Amino acid sequence: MQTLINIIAQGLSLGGVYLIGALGLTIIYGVMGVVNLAHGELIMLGSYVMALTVSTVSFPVAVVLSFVLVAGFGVVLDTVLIRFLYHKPVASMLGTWGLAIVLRQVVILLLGPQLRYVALPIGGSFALGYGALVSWWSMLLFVVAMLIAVAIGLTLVRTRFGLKMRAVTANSDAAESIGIATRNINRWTFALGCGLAGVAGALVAPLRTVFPGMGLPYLVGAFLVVILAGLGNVRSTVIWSLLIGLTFSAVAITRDDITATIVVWCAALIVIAFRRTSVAVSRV
Amino acid sequence: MLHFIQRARTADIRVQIAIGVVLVAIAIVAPLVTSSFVISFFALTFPLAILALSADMMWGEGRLVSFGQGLFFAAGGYIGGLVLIGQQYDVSGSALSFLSEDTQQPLMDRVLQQLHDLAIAGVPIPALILPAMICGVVGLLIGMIVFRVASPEVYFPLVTLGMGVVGGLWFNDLSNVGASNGLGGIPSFTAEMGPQQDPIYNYMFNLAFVIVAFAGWAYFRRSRRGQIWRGAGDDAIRLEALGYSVRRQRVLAFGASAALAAVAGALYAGTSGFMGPSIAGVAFSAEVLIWVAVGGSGRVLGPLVGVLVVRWGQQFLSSNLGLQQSWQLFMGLALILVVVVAPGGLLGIRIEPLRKRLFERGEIKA
Repeated sequence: MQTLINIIAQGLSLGGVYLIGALGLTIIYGVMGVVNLAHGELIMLGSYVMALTVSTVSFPVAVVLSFVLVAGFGVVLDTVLIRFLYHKPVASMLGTWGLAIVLRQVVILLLGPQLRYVALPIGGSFALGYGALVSWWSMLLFVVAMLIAVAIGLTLVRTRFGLKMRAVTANSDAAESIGIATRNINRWTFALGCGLAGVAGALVAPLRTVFPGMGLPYLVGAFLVVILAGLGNVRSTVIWSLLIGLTFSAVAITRDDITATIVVWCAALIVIAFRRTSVAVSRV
Repeated sequence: MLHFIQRARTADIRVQIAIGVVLVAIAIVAPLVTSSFVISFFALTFPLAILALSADMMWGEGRLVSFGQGLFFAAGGYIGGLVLIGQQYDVSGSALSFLSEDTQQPLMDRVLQQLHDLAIAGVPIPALILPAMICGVVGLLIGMIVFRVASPEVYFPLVTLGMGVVGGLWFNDLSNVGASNGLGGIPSFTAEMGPQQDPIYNYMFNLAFVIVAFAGWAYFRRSRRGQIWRGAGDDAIRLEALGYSVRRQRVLAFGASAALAAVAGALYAGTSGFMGPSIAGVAFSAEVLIWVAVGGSGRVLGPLVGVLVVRWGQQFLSSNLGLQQSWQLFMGLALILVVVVAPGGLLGIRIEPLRKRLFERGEIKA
């Protein structure tokens, strides 16, 4: 019972991180057709913002700061590189992989390769009976992730910006011709996706070590969610990220991380293999 | 229609053959005039060129980018390496195994020893055939699953990316092949032919494979099957409408690509004497894609040129300028530059207006 509660608590918080990462990936791909392989490095940047600022400002400010800074950085990236890769899936994968390498190396050059640790801003945990302790921070992470998912879903359906995003997703040329500034929509969508990656990084920083190469497992996990949920579908992104988080933590707690990674990927391949129809490609 | 495509997209066959003959002649004569350092550099680069070719089989023609070629390369290297050694990785060393009570060799070791002894003219051929068979079958199986999806040009890279991560972790944990230490002390394919110190034997052995692989690929591209495969990348829906199964083409191509990568891995293991788990990881697989991108994907000689330029550049930067640390940074910048400015790679640079290329929509084309 104690193990079960631990599995669920860890699984939900891990699923939360995958969820925030996958949401960023999925809206970026949906709107501008860019598969962003630098997403793990953006998460890493968010963690660094948290690690470098949390000692001077309070942690909610640090989380907001990591959103703002990484989103702002996203605008710069969009202007310098990403806009050349719109609607070219293959080129965007290679270009953003190059970007990921550059970001890692620049962080090593500027801040050094050493591991950093962030103290838990909200320490302690609460008991759930059966001697199981659930840390407040991992529950907070899960709640924030769900709130973000709801906010993204509502933005897409209820706001003017969301309407324009959906229009650009459905048909970018037609949207342009009825007067939507697709250039701006693309830029702000990319910034939003980057900002979400920053938040994911900031929230996960106290749970894991912060170092330049930390992004890859999150990138791979978020993409696993995207593969299973279909690009651009918010509801199934939520479901699959929680399922994957729970499966991973179930194997990781009873066995080890490597077995968990292998089990999760093999399970994903089996799911794809036994689907009657192919993977959903609905775009929002 | 296929005939028309052939005329439009491949260079004059006489020109191609002439270029090939000149290159082979240079490669055979070159060892007479260069230092043994250069010879061993090329001997080690040839398997990597074959690996790059295996990646371009999928990418250049089929428009499918694989982030898992390094996994097949490493798997091939491990399998080939085990056969070349003739036994599993042994932490305690062979001397200590006499002390243990159990003198019976494990089944795995006996099988490997048997395979090792199946040599033709002193070359343990199973060390090349076995990796190709095993990885080819694995590639076919994965392909059968992956190519069910609707838009594989997006999902295939992501699935192979995951495969690479999982495979890298797995080999890092697998004690039969030395886990995180890697498998060292692999004897060369040409160990029976002459003194190991002379790299010329490895050079010539690997050169033969490079010639066969690249000439075979050039021939295949011109053949009917090669044109169908190119059609699968150019316009999958139209090819399907003509009555061909695009999924079948893709599955077969991935199997062949995996098998070729495995052979390259076995050659590399035999040449360098070492195979490690980092080769199976995604970072190395992405490096393979960088070679192809730099050389020019979709061209016969693109992978070869890319490997030589990038590896020579690495050598030059680290030994002459002392920039070993920032090598990765250069690779990243080079990849971005190639993708944005010269999507055709070095071989694809034309004097078209750059601006038109930058703002054109559509995939990278050769």
